[in-house]
Formats: sequence, C-alpha cells, structure tokens
Amino acid sequence: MAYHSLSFFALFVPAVLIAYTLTPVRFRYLTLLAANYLFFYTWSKGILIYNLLCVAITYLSAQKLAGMRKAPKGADRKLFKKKKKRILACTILCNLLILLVLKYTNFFGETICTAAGREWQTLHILMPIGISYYTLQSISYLADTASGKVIPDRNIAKLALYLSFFPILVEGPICRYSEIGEDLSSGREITYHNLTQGYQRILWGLFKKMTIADYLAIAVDQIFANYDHIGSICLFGAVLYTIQLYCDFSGTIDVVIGTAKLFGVVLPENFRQPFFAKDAGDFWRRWHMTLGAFFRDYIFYPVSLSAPVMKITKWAKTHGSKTLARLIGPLIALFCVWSCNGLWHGAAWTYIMYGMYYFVILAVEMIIKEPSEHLYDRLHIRKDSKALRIFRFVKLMVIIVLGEMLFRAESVSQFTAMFTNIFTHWDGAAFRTTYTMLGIGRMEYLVTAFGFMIVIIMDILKETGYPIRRTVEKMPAAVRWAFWYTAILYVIFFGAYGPGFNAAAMMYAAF
Amino acid sequence: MIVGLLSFAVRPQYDVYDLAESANATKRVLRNPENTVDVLFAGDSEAGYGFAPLMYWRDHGISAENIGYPNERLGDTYAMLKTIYDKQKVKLLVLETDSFFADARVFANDDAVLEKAEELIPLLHYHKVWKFLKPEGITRGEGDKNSNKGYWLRRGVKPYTGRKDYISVNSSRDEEISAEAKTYLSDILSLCSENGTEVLIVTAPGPAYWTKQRNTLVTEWCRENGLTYVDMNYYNDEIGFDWSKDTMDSGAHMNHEGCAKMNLWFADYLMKYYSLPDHRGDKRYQSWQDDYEFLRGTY
Repeated sequence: MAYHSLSFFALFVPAVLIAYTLTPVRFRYLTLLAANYLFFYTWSKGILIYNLLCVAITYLSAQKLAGMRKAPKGADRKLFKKKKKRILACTILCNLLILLVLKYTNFFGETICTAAGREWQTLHILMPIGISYYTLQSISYLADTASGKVIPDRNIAKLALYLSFFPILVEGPICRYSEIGEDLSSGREITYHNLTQGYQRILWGLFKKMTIADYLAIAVDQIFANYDHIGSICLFGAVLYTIQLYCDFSGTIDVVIGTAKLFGVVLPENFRQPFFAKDAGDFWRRWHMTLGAFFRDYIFYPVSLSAPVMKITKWAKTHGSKTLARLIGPLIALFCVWSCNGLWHGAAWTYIMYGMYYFVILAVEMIIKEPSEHLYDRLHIRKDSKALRIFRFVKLMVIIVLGEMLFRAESVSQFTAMFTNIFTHWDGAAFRTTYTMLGIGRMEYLVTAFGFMIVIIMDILKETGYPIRRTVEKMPAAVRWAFWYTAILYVIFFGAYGPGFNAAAMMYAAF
Repeated sequence: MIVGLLSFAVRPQYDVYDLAESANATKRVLRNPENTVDVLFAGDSEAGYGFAPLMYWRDHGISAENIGYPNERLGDTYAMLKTIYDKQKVKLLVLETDSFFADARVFANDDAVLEKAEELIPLLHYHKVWKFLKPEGITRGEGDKNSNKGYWLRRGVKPYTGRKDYISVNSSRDEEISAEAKTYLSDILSLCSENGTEVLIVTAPGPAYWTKQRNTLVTEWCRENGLTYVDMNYYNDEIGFDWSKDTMDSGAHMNHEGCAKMNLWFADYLMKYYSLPDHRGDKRYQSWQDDYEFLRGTY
C-alpha cells in the first residue's frame, strides 16, 4: 500500500482516523499501534517479526540503561561507565546485525567471493519494509536513553509505536523519540485544523509525486536502460533524475508529514529548499535533513570527540600544523559518516562510491574554505556578489546532477560510460528527435515542467520566509475553496496513475 | 457534482482502458482518406512494437495501419474498430494474441480500490483526456509512432538468454483466455463480419511470454471460430531470428532489426494468402508514400 495510492489516503487513513476517534483517549496509542502493524503486514507479511525483534531488544536494553543513569554508591565510576557503554554497543550491534544480515549478506558475500575468484550463490533474503529507518531510530533511542536525554517508558507498546509508526515506516523521516514520542502516545484529539492542514500537505505531496516525479520516472528508466546507445542524452537523464528524486522523495515526505499531522503528530521536516544551498555541505543540511542530523549526532560528533581521534589530532598539532590539527579530526569523522551514508542507501558499489564522492567533495570544501576566503579578500570579490553566487549555483548543480547519475546507475561502469558519453558523444540535435521517444510525450513534459516551476516558486517563497499558508488562509472562503478544488482536480487530471502507468514505487522505500 | 459532471464530459462513447492511446490511434487512422486502409494490425505491445506498416507499403504497396499499443485491452480494440469502421472498410484485421491472456476488463487496475473508484467515478479512469489536446507526432521522426503508421520503432539490444528450443518446452504457468476476453473477441469477430473484414490471428515471435499452453488455447479457439492462426514462434528459423540480437528486452519484444525480418516474412505470407492490392502510385494513398519517403533511411 503505497503512500500515494488511493487505498492509503482515501481508505486506510480515514479508517484509522475513525477507529482512533472512537477509541477512548488512553487506548488510542494502541489503535495506532494496531494500524502500524496492519500497514506493516500489507508490505512485509510475516517478516514484520524482525521489527518486533528490534523492539524487544531495544526495550530490554533501554530499561537496563535507564536503571544505570547514576553509578551506585561506592561503585567504580569508570568501570560503571564502561559497562554502560558495553551494553549500549552490544544492543546497537544486535540491531545492526539484523540489518546487515538481511540487507548486506549477498553484497558482502559476492564481493568477498569475487575477490577470492569464486562464485557466490545468491541467497533469497526477504527484507522487511523500513528496516533501514527503524534500525536508525532504535539506535537513536538507545543512545539518547544512555545519555539521559530520553527516559524510556515501561510500556513496551509505546516503544513499538515509535519504531513502527506507519507514516514514517517506509521512507522516514528519521525521528528522535524526544520529537514524537509524546505526540504518539498521548492520544491527541483529531481537530479540524489538523485535518485540513494534514490533507493540504498530503495534496502538495501528491502533486509533486504524481504530476512530476512519476512521469519523469518513465523517461529516466528508458535513458538509464539504454545508456549505451543514446550518447549525450545521458546528461538529460541525469538532470531529469535529479528532479524526479527531489519531487518523489520530498513529495512522499509531504504525504507522510501530512498523514502524521492528521493524528496531531508533528514530524520534523526532511527538506529545506536544497537547491538554494550555497555549497555541497549546505546542500546536505537541506536534503534528507533527518538522516544528516542522525549521522551528525551519532557518528560525526562521537567520532570527532573519541579518544583515538583526539590522539591523532594531538599528534597532528605536534608533528604537523595547526591547519592539519584543525582538519584531521573532522575529516576522519566525515569519512565515517559518508561511508555509513553510502552503505545505508544500499548494498551496491554505486552507493559506496556515492558516499565517497560526497566525502571527497565535502572534504575539499572543508580544506579550501579558509584559503578561498583569503583569495576573495585579496581579489576584492564580495562573497555575496552576483557573479560568485551564479558560479556557486552552477558548481553545485554540476555536483548534484553528477552525484545523482552515480546514485541511479546500476553499476560504477554504467556511471563511467554515461559520464564519458556526455563528452565523447555530444549531439545536441539528437535531443530534439529523441526526447519524445522516452516513453512520455510533449504534453507530459509540459505538465512536469509546469509542476516543477510551481515547486521552485514555492521553494523561493519558503526560502524568503513568505507566509504561504497564512496567505492562503486569509483568502476569502470562496477563493480558498476554489483554490483547493482546483488543486485536487489538477492532481486528478494530470497525475500519473491508471491505464498506461505502472505505479512508480516510492524511491526511498528500497532503503 | 463537479466531479460527476466532468466524468460525464470525459467519458468516451465506448469505454476503453487507455483513452489517450486509443484516441490517438483512432484519430491517426481516420486522418487517412475514406476507405484507404486495407490492413489493420491490432493487439498490445507485441503488435505495437512488432508490425511496421511502412515495410508492407515499401515492398507491396499494402496500405496498413498499426493500432496496437502497450497494454491494449481487447475492449480497446473493439472500441477503436467501431469508430474506424465509420470511415474505413478494412479488408484484413491482423490480431495479435498476447492481449487474449491479459485482463480484458477496461477498468481493471492493480490497485483494487482505484479500480472500484474508476468504475464509480469515470473521471479517474479517463483523466488523461488532456493528452490529446495537442496531437502527438508533431515531432516527426523514426521514434514517433504516428510517423510510422502506428509502429513503435525501438532500437537497442538486450539478448534473450533462455532456451533456443523454447517452443518444445511445456511451461508450468497456468494460462486461460478469460470469459471477458472471449466476449470481446466474439464482439470483434461479429463487427468484422458485419463489415466484410477477414480476421487473421497471429502470435508475434517472443520467447519471453510464449508458452505451449497459449498456443493450444488459441489454436482451439480459432478452430471453434473458423479462423486462421499463424504462430510465428514456429517459424523462427525461416524468419531468420537471432535472439541474441533481435530483441530489445530479453525476448519480450523484438527490436527494429528483428521486426524487419519478421515483417519481411509476414508480408510474403499475406501476399500468398490474401488479395491485397498494390496502391503505389495512387494519389489517394499519398500519406503512406510521404511517410515512407520521410523515413526512407529507417526502412
């Protein structure tokens, strides 16, 4: 049951809303929990047992860690801290092991066997939906419990609710328990305000996914499937994919956030106008923000402040230079983050290379930041000058589009071939005859172009702080209703669904 | 109420599965002068990607159109024929069999909720009505089906790596021609009979979906209805197929090179068993000549 399917937002969600409203307040979290596992079952059937296992392991460990907030009197504090860390590490490893076995066995097996000159027999392992997401949530829950940020509830059902909340199960956002735990279990009233805001957000998400992303998916699939004989159209494919990915992922997140809002649960945002970023580092603070925040808080900072890295930093200060000492810790931490980021996205070399791609870019940005600023000062270039902003924008777009081409490619060799084709088989004229042979016609291109223009305008308004929602709410009732009816009819008319379309799966559901 | 009104406005005279494609195909056929289309190729993507009318024109002056397209339902074929017969007295309908085994219902959808919703609110089914506000094929070229008389030309090679002797294999797949499919087929045969059109049932070459059971079911159905059936999978060697080169998707569909071989063979078959006049030189059939001239390098 995909989030953009009629079954979900017109049948399942209203049914859950009705059941939730009819349930007494103190038991509403159980209604949500039942809905979660019903939704989970529609995706993964019996293998939802892995989620239950994750819940059980996390619950037991969290209860133990909660009891270890303060060292008992007379106990060795260092030893006590070590024991706590060991419990935390073991539990995290347990949950990670489930993820690693289910998601990465075939990848690592094939890699090792290929290196050893042997053949790997692919295992058919069924992976439950959302495992990458709820595993990270369980890690954050445990880490926050250990640090005292979260006081775990004795009620295991509330933890299960957090680790299986159906709107966020498939594509995130990755939420901290402190962000949504209270909202989830308090049985908030369904209000008119939440219903309208929630469904408006769902509509916006459907607009992006169904009238832009799902059309582009058809052309992108054609381009990437035929990359070896379409020359420089590969560049067109990479650009389309970048737009598709943004509209698909952010659109689905809008549906998710809107759905949660219906129940009074406020989820964190996952996108903040990423194409307005100043550089790659800023881009990743605006794109898939909750994943970035997770890696920052649970990998970057702990690695940077870890004893081994502090030792290396000290060594660099003594034997190297101030600059080296300043950079080496963050670079090591950055490497860890992007190795994990790449691997988290999938069990394939393209994802690992994607992680390394951004590691190198971000590392370079980090290293040249100060020298660049000195250079601008020397050349009397204002940092907010138009020319510099255009240069930065173009540079960023090139980085993003190439990165997404790598992300979408089936293999590193495909990416290399596509990248080479752009330069060695450049044929602008071919574009005019080829673009309508990619499975979508001129009208679909017009619809997606119009839709993407609306998305960019909305992003500009949000970036400048324009109060979009308040502006719409202040409209006269007749105008407001006409606006929303037009929006609904637009999605009905121009959405990519029904005859002639295979429903384009939610892209981040595979991770 | 608005949705109801719009549903009424967009619903076509005959219900179809894919409004945009069926409307496009019908419009293209009806653009030809009256009673000039002698042969119609129909069916799903096996027909759409398989039959190249301009090859029949090039070699024999046969005026053919291809109204096949991916996921074409038998209901769509019937609806298109109903409209086409207003202006064209088609001599021969070549009907590809893959659509016999697909869901024949025009409102069928993988999403059961959407399927029911489409039946209740036809606007959800026919929402793509905007697609033909601007006619397709403005960009003329070999990849444009309207420039190719409905043929969906595709290049590219993705070899079929299965058994070469696939026609000798009994597949374990359960096959059936559904009751809905048989109803539509019966309607199509009646319509053709009323309009003096001969019907030839064919299975285009394609090891990916072919099964012996399908061949048996179609053979039986054709025998019951007194129809000729040509399963081209039995003529691979005669046609000269090389499944390592002549397919674009591992044996599901032929590519242009594979189609060229198949259409050469099939054109000879048609000339041998059917009286199809040679219209080359006749100004009424200029659109075939014009399209052929425009894409001469392709053919």
